[in-house]
Amino acid sequence: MLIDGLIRMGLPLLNRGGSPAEVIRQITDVEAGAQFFQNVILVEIDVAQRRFAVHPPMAWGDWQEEPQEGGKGRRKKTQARFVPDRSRTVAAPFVLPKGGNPLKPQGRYGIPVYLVYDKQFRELAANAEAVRDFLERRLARTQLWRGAVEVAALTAPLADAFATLASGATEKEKLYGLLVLAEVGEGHPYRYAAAASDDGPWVVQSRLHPGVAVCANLALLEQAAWQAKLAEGMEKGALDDGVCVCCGAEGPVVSIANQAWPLFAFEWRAPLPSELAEEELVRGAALCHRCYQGLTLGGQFCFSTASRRLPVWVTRELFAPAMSRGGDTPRQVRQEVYAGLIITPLVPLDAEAEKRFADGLEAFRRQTVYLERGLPLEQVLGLEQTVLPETLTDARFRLTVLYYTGEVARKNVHLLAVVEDVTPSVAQAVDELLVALGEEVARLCQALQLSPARYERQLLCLPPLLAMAYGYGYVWQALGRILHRQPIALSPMVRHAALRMQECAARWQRDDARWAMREEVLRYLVFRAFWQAYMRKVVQRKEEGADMRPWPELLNELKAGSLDFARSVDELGFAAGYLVRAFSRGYWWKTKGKDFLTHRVLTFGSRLTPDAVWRRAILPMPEYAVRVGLPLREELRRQHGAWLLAYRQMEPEVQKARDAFLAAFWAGYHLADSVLGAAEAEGEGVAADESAAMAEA
Amino acid sequence: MTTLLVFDVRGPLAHFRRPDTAVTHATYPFLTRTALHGLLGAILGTEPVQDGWAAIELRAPVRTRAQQLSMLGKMYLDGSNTKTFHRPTAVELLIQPHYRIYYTGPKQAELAEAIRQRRSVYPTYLGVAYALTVPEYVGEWAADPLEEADEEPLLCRTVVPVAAVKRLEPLPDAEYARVGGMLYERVGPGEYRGGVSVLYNAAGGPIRFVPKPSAHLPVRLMGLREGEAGVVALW
Repeated sequence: MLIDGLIRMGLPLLNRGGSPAEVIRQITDVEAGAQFFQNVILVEIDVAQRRFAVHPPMAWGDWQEEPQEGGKGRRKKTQARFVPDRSRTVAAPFVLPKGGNPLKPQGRYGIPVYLVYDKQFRELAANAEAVRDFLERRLARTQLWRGAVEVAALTAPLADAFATLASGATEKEKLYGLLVLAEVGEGHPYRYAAAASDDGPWVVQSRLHPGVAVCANLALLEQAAWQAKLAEGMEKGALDDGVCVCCGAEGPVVSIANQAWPLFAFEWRAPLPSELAEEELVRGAALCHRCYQGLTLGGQFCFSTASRRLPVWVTRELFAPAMSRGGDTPRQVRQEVYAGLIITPLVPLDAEAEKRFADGLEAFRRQTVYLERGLPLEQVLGLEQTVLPETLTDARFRLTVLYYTGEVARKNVHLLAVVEDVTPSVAQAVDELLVALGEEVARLCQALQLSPARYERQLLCLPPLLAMAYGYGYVWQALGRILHRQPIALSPMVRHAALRMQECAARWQRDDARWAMREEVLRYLVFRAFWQAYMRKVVQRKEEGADMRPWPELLNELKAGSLDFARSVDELGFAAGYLVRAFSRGYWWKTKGKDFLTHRVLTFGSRLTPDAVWRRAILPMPEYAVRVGLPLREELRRQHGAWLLAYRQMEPEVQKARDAFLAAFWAGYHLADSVLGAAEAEGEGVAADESAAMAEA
Repeated sequence: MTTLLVFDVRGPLAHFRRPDTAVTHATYPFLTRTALHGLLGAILGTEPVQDGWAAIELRAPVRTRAQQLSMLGKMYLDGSNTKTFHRPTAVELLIQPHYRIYYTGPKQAELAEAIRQRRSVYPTYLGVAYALTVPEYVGEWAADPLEEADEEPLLCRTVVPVAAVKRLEPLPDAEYARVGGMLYERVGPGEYRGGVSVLYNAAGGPIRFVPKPSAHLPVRLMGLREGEAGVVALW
């Protein structure tokens, strides 16, 4: 089960412990719901004397002016932001409602600390009956409430307090507040002390006992928070003599359908076992209390700490069509994609190793390792600004990556992919390949006269790179294969690249299509380089279909007058591109600006096929040269003849691998400029003129 | 010596839903123990066959793919059709699964006969009704129980409960993985008890490991005398 991974990640965090304040911050929402501390209404209840006092509304924090970035040319503005007093906020832990109506009581409350929203302030103001209803419905769901004073006695003074706050607020102002019924006494969540003590923060100065402070009993608050969590888990059933599905422990268990796990929405009943009532789901699969606590912490870690929304540019590329260019306008992002990480030990750890594991998770939480050594997850998984601490890159650990859409808070999570059991060393090796690929991107961009800044992000991040190569339908599958060191195919990428190039070729007379074609050549060669390096270094298998040598090598040989064209279809296509480009430069110069491909090959909207390259571009070159008065260099003439011979020999193979031929053709065509300039005296000027003309366009 | 009934199940796809997913249906990476019991029961036309011992071998690599299906959504059970609606649901599917099952138990003869004749009382499927399969009879092979307490690593053809593994030994091209919290035992309709964590080779080959006596989960290791060589872990 997926929760098994979360539990194995959460239990070391649970065993690691931490101060009650740290645990409260982890398992409740005192950090996320900071705005509720703007208006705290605290009722001090002396349990021993059964007396109470309502404190005047207070703010547990300060408003601070923070500079706000204005637009270009605008003045910088400041904005007031409420900064809570973190040492004090742990004294009133609460959980924010996730889905449903937040104005209604939801889940379980550890101690009587209740959220009050703007609408409720207005309703409860000077309305004792409404306050009574508000309190009674929530107290019934509260774990730690001894009832030292009658609810009826509290309603009128509380209604006054709400009225005070509501009257002081403007119509536009949104009020957020917290109602705390603080039972004070030994063995209660709060106690009297002379001053703040080591084991609990100062909360408020007592009104019932002047000169005495009310402090929080954090250990008890932590316990109450866990009890509330457990009570929530019991809502879908609990057994006293069950067996835990994860650890096999026998004893009290709760259902796996609980608030800690967002992939299980209760209200959607169709996939649940039809034989069981909703409150008996515990009979389907159950967790012991300890595993449930581990699940709570693990779920919190996965879906909050180790969860990132993929950047918009990644998402856009993920959903981009692979078989066509999809227009030149920026593509609309259809949905937001998130990635969550589960880090687990492969085998049970001893106490010392488990402690180091928990420390590693804590370091991940704080990301203090960002500048230190570790495994960056940005390029491999698309998780921006995320580094896996070095202690967690050990071979004993495995990563599980969840890619999903939807909202965790509303328990509406749709998994796109689960990549399980990723060995960090494999992710590390792939990351190194991507880093090294950066040099190839820079080299290619220079050769193709493209700006590297525009393509680096897209081509050096694995999910968008795979989406471009394989298309949306296969991106996650391909990612899973790579992260498991399995071979990946080259042919789908070649097919997609050839289709996109055909699209550009159809609009060849337009200058924007020529730049788009260069972009496609870049993508084709970069993925090819990645694929070759991956197969050689990571998979360590012989590459089938890797029958094109690196492009600089090929270009140098062609420039040196190589006549060896029959090694593979890809190299034949690449050489064809080179020869056509070499000829077209002189043709452009002699015809005073006519593009050879437009003028003679891609005429009347015809498609470029291997046959067209042979029949319409290369075969009649000498004839065209005579027509326009272009003297063919001896070297080019020899290469021309040798290529025609090679093509005739390889024609059956070319027909079987038309996409490979065409993709390589366009690569050779565009890269030829990078070596031809110096080779041909007349061509140098031509290249400069033509490039200038394209740039102007 | 024991005789094991050996048969294959395979299909274009399969889905063994993890019970901790509802909005999205994630799958276990291979045929689960409880699904196998159900499949045996479907062949015989009885309740799930829980008597006996079975081992599951992965004959193909674990390949999954998430696919959106239109499924009947909320309020399915309350009887009021007006509130139902179809909802696109992400379902993780296993692609081209192929398992070899080893079984020994009281129903062995009946099962062998039915599978040999390619007949079953109820349709047999791989986890979901849209993944139909027909079990293929392979044979009845002799096997011997292994001696205990050996430090020698075994080459096991089948998936193994973690509880029976003392130490894993690497194998070239193997991808050892673990699936935790797999439901262990069916108690009644929709009701299960206990869980088991299992090690498997996601690349579809064997696992090499040093065994240990399993404390709380019974596992029987047997060496195949006939058929293909190796060890199977029945549980």
